[in-house]
Amino acid sequence: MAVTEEKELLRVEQLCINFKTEDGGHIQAVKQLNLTIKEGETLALVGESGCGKSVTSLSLMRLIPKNAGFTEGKIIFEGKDLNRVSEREMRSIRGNSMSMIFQEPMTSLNPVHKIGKQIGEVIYLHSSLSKAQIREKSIEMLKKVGIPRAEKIMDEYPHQLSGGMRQRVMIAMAMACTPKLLIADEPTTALDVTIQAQILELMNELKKDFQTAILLITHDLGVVAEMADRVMVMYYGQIVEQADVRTLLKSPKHPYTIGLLNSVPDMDDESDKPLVPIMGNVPNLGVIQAGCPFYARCPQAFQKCHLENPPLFKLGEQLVRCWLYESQEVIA
Amino acid sequence: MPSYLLKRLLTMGITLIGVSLLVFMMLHLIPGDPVRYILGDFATPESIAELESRLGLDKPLPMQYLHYMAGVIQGDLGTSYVTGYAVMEEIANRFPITAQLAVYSILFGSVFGILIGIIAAMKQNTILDQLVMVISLIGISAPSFWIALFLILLFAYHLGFFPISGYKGFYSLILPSITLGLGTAGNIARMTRSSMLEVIKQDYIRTAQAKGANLYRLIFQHSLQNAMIPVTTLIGLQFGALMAGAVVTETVFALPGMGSLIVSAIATRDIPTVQGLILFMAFLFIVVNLLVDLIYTKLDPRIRYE
Repeated sequence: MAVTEEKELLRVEQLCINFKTEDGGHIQAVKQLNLTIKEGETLALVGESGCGKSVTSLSLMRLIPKNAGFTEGKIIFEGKDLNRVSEREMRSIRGNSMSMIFQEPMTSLNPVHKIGKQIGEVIYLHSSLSKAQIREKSIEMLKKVGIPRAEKIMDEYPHQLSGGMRQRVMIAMAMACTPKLLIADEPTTALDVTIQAQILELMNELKKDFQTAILLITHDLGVVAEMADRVMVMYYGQIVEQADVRTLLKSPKHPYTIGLLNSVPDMDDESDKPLVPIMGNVPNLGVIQAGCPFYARCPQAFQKCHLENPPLFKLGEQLVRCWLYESQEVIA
Repeated sequence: MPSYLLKRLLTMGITLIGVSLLVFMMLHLIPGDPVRYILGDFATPESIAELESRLGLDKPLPMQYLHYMAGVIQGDLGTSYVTGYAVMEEIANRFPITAQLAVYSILFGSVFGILIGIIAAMKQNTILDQLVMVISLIGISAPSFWIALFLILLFAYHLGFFPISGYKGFYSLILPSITLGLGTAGNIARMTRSSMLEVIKQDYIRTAQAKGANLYRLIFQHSLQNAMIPVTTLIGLQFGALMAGAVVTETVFALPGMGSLIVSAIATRDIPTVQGLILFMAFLFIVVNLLVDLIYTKLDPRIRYE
């Protein structure tokens, strides 16, 4: 899946996401993040729990509650800075040109509304179709996401469907207004492995049909290999490595990325060598430290890592935030 | 569903038997002899014995109970010792007023309570939220006779908007309904607030937001129905409190309903009337809560009765 010269759809510049703490201060969950997504491209955002990938996706939709925190920086989507548009304009973007599916299909649908009503709502909000047309379009979407007996499902409630079916409904809902960008936050994490593969395949198909770009949030490198064009690895609220998917999986540079890849079992490998986990945990966001946040867990750490957080270094098309590549050109 | 209803009706019967047994024993335990009350202090032993046998009070208690229940099953709640009318007839006369009072105060309590509960939840931790919480606490904790007197003093005596007491149609039920509904409103407001706060944290609310729904849609289309499930339970239970409250409220406002009837019946040891009224009120309470359980299935499609 080579990325050709396509138009830029989303550019995030210097995004900082801050959360208020109980003592009146705030902690920074995402630090000066830059990213771009081209039209029709799939960008994977990878990292462990707590590295800031989910809040990044929520902040793009401006769904972080105002009383919980605030964001800084620019989120330029189709030429508009989403951090500056009115709430009304933001609502006209949500579900329309930018939509989102979530990790938990079991709880992401409203239990008291019929499936038809829930899909119909997003079409109703962003179009001027009649009731009958909305219903027709909803059924069409359900069929597109591979739901058998779509007409019947329209009048069923979420609890009558399996997890995989519900995620299909969520996808149908997210794709109903043919969004330019689909944000998928761990879309397959809660599903069975067999269903996971089906859902990923479905997303790839729809992406081709609708020319939709996907921002895929995941911790699963298998999913990344399956779906992504480009990958950004996040750690402690910042990008530590960025590359196209082939390069990243073939020759990871950052010790954290290497660690992540080593902790994935290789099914083709016949030898019984044990998996190598990354020792320790992601440091607490509240703790301010001078050096590289991965320092304490890094097998290759040296003196400098302890003292100063590295900038991003450029190695060809690959970006790495690690002092091991200090001789390279600095990006940010 | 039909088998469920049958089961519920059966348990309803058992509950009513339990209630009747309890009330029957209680009324015979409390001091005060209805015969002496009717005949006065200078009654002769002969006349006492004569009246006792006429009322059936000379028979052993289990016999009296069985006799009473045989009547109840045929729709006969006995005859009032004091007025000589059938208790059933007395209830039929008094019921419309109490029923109106109950409906109006439940309506007032629910609408007002749910409304300010939503406002409090939406404005959580602001002055408005605290104000609602304080008002609801006053509503819950202020004794109804005090609220009644306050409302009479302000709106009836000083401003003259409403009659001070007595029953003269809908107008005269407004102050009593507010009196009675305030406590209900307070409870419902608090429950609505906490239930709404719980619901708006749910994933499906985030989904609705991600679809581009505005605040109005989020509240009324996506949250309210889910939040109403525990509130509906509370409304059903509040009905019991309302029946108890009606006793005081009807007395203060001199409304000729079941509440004021039961007060005078207790004072005159009019056992059949007291028994009949309590049994009837218990019946209403059970019916209302059966309705509440049926409303659940409308609110939450996951609830099905087999």
